[in-house]
Amino acid sequence: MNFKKTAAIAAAVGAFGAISVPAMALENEFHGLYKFMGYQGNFFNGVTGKLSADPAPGFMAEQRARLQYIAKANADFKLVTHFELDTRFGGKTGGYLGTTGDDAGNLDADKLTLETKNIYVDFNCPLTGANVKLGMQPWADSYQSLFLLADMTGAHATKNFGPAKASLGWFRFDDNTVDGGQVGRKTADLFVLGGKYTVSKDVTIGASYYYVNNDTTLTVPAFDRLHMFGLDADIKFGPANIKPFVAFQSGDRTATTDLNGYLLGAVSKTKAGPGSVNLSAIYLSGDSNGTTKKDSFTAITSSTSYFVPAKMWLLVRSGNAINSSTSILGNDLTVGGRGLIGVFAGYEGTMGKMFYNANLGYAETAESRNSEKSSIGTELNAQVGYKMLDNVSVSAALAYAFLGDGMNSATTADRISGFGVANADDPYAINLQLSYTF
Amino acid sequence: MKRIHLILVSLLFFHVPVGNAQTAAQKIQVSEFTVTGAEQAGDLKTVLKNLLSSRIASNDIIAVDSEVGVAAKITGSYASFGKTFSIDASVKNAAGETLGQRYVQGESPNDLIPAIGKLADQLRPLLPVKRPVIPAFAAAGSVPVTPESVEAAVRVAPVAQPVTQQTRIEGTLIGIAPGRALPGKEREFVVADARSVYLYRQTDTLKKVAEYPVTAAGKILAIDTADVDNDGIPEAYVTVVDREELVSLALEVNERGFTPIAEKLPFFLRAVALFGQKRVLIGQYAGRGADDFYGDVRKVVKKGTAYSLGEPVKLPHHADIFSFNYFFDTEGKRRTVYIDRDRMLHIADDADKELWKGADHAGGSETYFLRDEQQIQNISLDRYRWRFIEQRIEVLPDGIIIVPQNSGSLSVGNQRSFSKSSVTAYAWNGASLEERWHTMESPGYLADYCIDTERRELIMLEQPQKEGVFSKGASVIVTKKIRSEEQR
Repeated sequence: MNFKKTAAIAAAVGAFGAISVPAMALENEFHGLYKFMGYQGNFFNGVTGKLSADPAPGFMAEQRARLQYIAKANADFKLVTHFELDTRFGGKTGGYLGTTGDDAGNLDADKLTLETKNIYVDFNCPLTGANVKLGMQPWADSYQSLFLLADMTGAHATKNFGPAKASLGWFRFDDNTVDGGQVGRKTADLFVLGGKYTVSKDVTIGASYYYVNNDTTLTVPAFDRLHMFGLDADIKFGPANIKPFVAFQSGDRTATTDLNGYLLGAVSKTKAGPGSVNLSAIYLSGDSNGTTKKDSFTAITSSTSYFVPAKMWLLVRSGNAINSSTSILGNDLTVGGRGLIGVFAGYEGTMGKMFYNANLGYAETAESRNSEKSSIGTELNAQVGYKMLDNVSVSAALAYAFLGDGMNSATTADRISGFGVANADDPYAINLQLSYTF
Repeated sequence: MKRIHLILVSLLFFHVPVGNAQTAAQKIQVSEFTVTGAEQAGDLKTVLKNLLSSRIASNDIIAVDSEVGVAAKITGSYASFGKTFSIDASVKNAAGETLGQRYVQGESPNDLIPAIGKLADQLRPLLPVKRPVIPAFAAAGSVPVTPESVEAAVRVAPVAQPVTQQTRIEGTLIGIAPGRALPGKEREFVVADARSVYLYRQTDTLKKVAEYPVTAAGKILAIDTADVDNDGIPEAYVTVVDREELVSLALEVNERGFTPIAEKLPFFLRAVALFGQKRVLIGQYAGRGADDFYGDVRKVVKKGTAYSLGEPVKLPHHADIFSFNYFFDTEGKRRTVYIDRDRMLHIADDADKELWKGADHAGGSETYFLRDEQQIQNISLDRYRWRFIEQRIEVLPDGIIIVPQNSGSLSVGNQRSFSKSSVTAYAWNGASLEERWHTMESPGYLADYCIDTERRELIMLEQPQKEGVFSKGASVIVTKKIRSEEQR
């Protein structure tokens, strides 16, 4: 029995389990987000990060609303829907924010801007006791989203066995290619198998296996087949919380080229004084061969990979970012397959209703191609905010990056091809934010 | 004679549903209102009468025009000054004795109809309406029910009456627990806001006598008192979260105020009077990652100044440490009452089988702790997962189950801003929970409450004013007497 048949049976069993749940009065639950952001910066061209030797700084503003409606039949069965509305002040055309037309930020607004993020049922299976999510749902890897964090269609089941938790999932992120007049034959699929074991109240360890099979003729993902095995842990040690992780990839980048990448990293948060010291480091393997990229760690896409614990604004996109979520690397943490070494440190805390953080980060490529310099840059940033209410906050942030030679050398051969710009000015961003969640 | 009593009680027990159906509704006369300061006063007199008549009517009450055979009469007046109005009403029994007066106010014509509804709710407990009474349910310590005690209960309403004047306390307190038993009329309360624990004493007035702040980054989630070391004096237990780690406190309560016994306890703590008996302290570790809690809920053991978790306490799947209790049914079987995360009230048996689920929201709390979910921040709504600390459920020695309820139209998702509250007493009849009494709806958030079982008092911590950008908010401690079955 192949994977596809197994997945079909699993889906059918899930559906049967769903309809066998007794009907109850509907319970409605609403959640939402509104976020306003104003940017003054010199590295964003409206679509992605763009360094320039003679940048023309500009001010832009944007907003995002997310609305989540959950219809609960009972404690064991619910429908989750989640929508998003993005707008740049002044408007942006061309489907940049997920819609096909204008984003309603132009004169007289009134455009179709509603985007669907999630529609799925979440239920506890009466037969197996497993929690099942079926439909368009969010999913995050066990590696701080360096491989994948996205909303996807699929089915994902988790079940507790005492201190252990197992998960099994299937996601399909492409079925757009007809083969022999049929759909469902040339697809891109992700299968996930994971386990977490709580050793004690202070230690949890995890293991996972991901398999991606890409039968499409498309370039997303940019490989044919990928196996990924990894381990992760969540450890409390004194005042510190440490999350180390490591993963290895193998497979076929193309029919003739292998894929053998790996990543390793750690994220820590340590109580110190009135706040916490945040430290994190990552190593994504790379390849000096820009054609085969055989040894490069590979994410599904750059737009669906993140490393929020870095708490950067420029070297790595920020967790705060919304519509214009980008870094000077265009969110490509693999730097075109060269791999990445990043070390990040910061301090965050609160003082009554004030909150603050300051961070320092350095990044360079793991492998250099030809005579390219590896240094990407060093970033300094700080943010100060005030909680007007428990769920309403305003903040201001300033970020500045000192570009490395790989990004702004005047010598072409020194620059990281596809990323560096001759004599590029150091990028900066000033961010003003108002956030309301419920 | 005993046999006759037994037969009477048996008949009453087995025929309560029939009794409900057959009890004749009481007639209440609602008179035309007197109207002052309003245009079209003539119409308004009749309109107000009709509005109140329809809203006060229930299964037990019929509003009539004639005074023939009525159990009570309601007279009312409407006075307006500019847009502000006041509606005052008085209830008298058939003999002409005043049973009580109530009023409501509004600031615009839009408030008129909701105000009439509120007035009806306030007047209804004053009416001498005979309501069927269910026999006592608790196996242990229950009050023997006789026809006499049933009749007494019928006559008295409401059963919870204010006994103290309210003192406004600056700031929004989030928790309250009974302090030491003091002689005479003096009462002692241990209360907390998010940052400090306070000791209050009350005689004629309420006075703060001590304060104990927690760490600057700490946030208090709950305050409880229990005599874990059995020395006759309850200690105070404070659940504190500091940057996602629990650093709870054990404090000795004495004349000087608070003396720390133990700090940085890694437990959620809750004192609960299981089966309505002596309060025991239970604890649970915090979870990691997606789990808010770790391991079983267990009874807390104190050895010297050291605390550890001991014997496990069994909980239904959807219950948590903060919002459950045990009671015995009429057959002596243990039942668990709990509020789930959707704020629904449940009764479950020992096998975690749900026996009953309420139709309305119960509990409701604005106190929460946060769990960092920054990894999924970009595609989710918030960097943090919010977990609310649900209200406690008390069981009285006679098996009565006390459940608070907060409500308010501004409570959506994690935005909780309750504006109305009440406390309801229930009894389990083997198939469902039946209401025995409830407090009048109060126009404020009920942050917490506790029971003084010795004095049979319900002590409610309310927030009549919310904290805002420019306001610290305010709290009050309201004490109400709970009448026993004998007193009814």
